[in-house]
Amino acid sequence: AGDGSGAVAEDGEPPVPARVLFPPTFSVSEIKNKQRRHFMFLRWKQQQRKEKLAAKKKRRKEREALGDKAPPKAIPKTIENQRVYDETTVDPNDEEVAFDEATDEFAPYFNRQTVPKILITTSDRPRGRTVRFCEQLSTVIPNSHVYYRRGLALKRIIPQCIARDFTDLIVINEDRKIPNGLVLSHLPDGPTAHFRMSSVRLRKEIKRKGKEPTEHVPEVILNNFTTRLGHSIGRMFASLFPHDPQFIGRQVATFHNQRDYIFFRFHRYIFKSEKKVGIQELGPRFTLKLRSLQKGTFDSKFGEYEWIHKRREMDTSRRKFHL
Amino acid sequence: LDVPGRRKLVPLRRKIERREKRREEKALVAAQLDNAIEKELLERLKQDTYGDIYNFPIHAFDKALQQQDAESESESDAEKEEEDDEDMDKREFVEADDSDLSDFEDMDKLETSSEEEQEVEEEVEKKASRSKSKGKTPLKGPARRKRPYIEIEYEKETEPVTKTKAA
Repeated sequence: AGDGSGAVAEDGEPPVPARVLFPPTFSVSEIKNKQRRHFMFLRWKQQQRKEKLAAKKKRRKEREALGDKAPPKAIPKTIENQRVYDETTVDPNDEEVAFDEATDEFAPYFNRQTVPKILITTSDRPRGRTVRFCEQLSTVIPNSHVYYRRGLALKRIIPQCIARDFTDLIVINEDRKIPNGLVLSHLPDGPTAHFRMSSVRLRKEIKRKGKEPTEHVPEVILNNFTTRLGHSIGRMFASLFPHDPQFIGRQVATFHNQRDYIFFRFHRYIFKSEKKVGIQELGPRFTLKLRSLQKGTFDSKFGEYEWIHKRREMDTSRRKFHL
Repeated sequence: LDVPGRRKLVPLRRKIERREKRREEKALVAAQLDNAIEKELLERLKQDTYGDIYNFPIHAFDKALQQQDAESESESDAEKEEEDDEDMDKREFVEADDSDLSDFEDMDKLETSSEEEQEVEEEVEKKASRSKSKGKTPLKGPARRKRPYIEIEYEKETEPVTKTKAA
């Protein structure tokens, strides 16, 4: 390390002047010596930071000086702000959408003609974590039953389910002992959605001091499902839960869509005052990402796909989301 | 082999997996789930989806008033109107205990079996009644001074707090 040659190479404790003036044609990256270069770069960085701080202070003073006439604060750009406008965004007053929804496969549910009855199952030979997750999921969703299957093809299960009056089928796919996929199928010939599941947390892994969820019917919150596709998925989730939540139970299941990831949480809430509510997380949590939506029931080869996630086409822009 | 128990293995691409994980984390941070859920629940409370289960009688008044009075000058007016509403709601208490309150300045001397909340509200009512009688401006000073000490807490007396571990 070539030390002590020239004024530039000051290692150890150099007395740095407050305002270092670099000669105008000088660039930090041109110094060949790594130590010296590193040191000069740090000094340059410090100077940049000081300048930025000074600029900020000046701006703030100007703002205070102007007082009421100051221009409003600039809103920082976020991905949600900059999101590419999706033409299938649902307008709440859209009649076509309302008509579609009145006649689609969930209409019987929303007209209260059917009561949801859910079958939860897994892929072959589920391991411990998946088993426990299924159990917890069945406590969260009222009127649900867990059945394990060994080697039975899904296509053969479905007619049996329909015969026994199930309205929905959930299959949890497992990989290396953790659940990683979810197939949600609305049974009497309804759409099938295939999700990839991640960040599954079982009840004991969540930091909370609450008890188990009770048998009361929880409320459902669906956040941020804006496009047509998002709307139909949201209705699919809503149709899992019985229509009349029991407010005495004070439980709420939330499906929150953010940037195409659907976060599921299950909480118990309590109103401390009319402007403050406390929530306590019980129940498992997981996140889903939609992979495909099929028109009929589960059929991977011959089914008619309404939407598939095509990575090459759909993941090109960071500001474009589909749900 | 077309055995039904045999599963098809589709390998995950590492880069894609990493990208997805990263995006999910960022989305989680951006989502601010707790805030969103709380806001939604409060919205539902405001829109009366819960009906009569929760007793916040002056809730609607408070909200409307606070939205109207953004400036600080009329803030005291708003608060005094709040107190008026309280007067109207708890009219029974005012009439019954008015004789006790009229002579006492110190709340500590009050030996009633009512809860602290009612005492607090009664004191606030007392201030309101005095301010009403003497006109608003003269009492702005003490009324404003006393206000920090009074916190109107709408405690639910009917529902037990379920967060504590029941025996």
